Amino acid sequence: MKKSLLAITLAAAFALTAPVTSTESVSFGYQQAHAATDSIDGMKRLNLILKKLRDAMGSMKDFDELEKAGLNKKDVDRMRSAMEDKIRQMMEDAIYAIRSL
Amino acid sequence: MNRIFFYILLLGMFGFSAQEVQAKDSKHVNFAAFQKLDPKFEFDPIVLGKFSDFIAAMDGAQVLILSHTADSVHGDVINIQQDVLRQSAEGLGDVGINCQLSFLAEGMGSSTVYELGGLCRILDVGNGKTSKLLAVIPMAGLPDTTQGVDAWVLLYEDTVSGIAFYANVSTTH
Repeated sequence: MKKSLLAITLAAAFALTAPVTSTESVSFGYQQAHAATDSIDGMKRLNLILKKLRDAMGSMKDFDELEKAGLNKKDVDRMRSAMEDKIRQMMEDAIYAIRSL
Repeated sequence: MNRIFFYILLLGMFGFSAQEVQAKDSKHVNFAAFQKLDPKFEFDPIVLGKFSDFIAAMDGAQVLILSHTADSVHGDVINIQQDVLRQSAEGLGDVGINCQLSFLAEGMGSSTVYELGGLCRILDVGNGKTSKLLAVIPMAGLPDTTQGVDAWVLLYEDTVSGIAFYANVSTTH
């Protein structure tokens, strides 16, 4: 899981430092306000994704409880794998949200 | 060379028929969560009857989730998530239920046994609350409404929060 955290930190750093395409148009008034609102919405969306991502990463250890409760290891591993895929998807969403800021 | 081609063809046909059997054997997994409102109310281990009877039997509890996962097959991991993320002064709150369930269908035809089990997190975080309950649901057999058993089985009950999970399987005719 530490690897995953490292991966998302690197991805986030890359997303923030990567060149972002910009338009040449000058934005005043409404456009500025609109851009500010978009930015706030983007931050909110990012916070939501990161919260869910943190919870999902923290929940990986809960699958050990299932094995203790007598579930077949093969079935628990399948559930772990499904959750890892979900986490990977959320990491991609987080990177997309960061790049959209 | 011809023999290799024959084996590949045979394997392809087997793969296709296995997929066909799996599609035919798919079931709808029905899952429901309730929370006790009336302290005197007791959850029954098995509730017999149609869906309307099932809901009527829960007169001392409120519905938290009703979920219908169509065309589930053996080995599916069913994710059920119904929670609300709410911004508050102390940060982002999270209230609701998150489940990861493993669905198994073993056997053939009318003698197939269906099982469901997994994890559910019951969250109540925010507004001064920090409750995160982890419910470990051991694999339990599910009644199949198409095998003539109109019933819902109690998978798990948490006596502290008064939350209970029920499930069954069905098929569309």
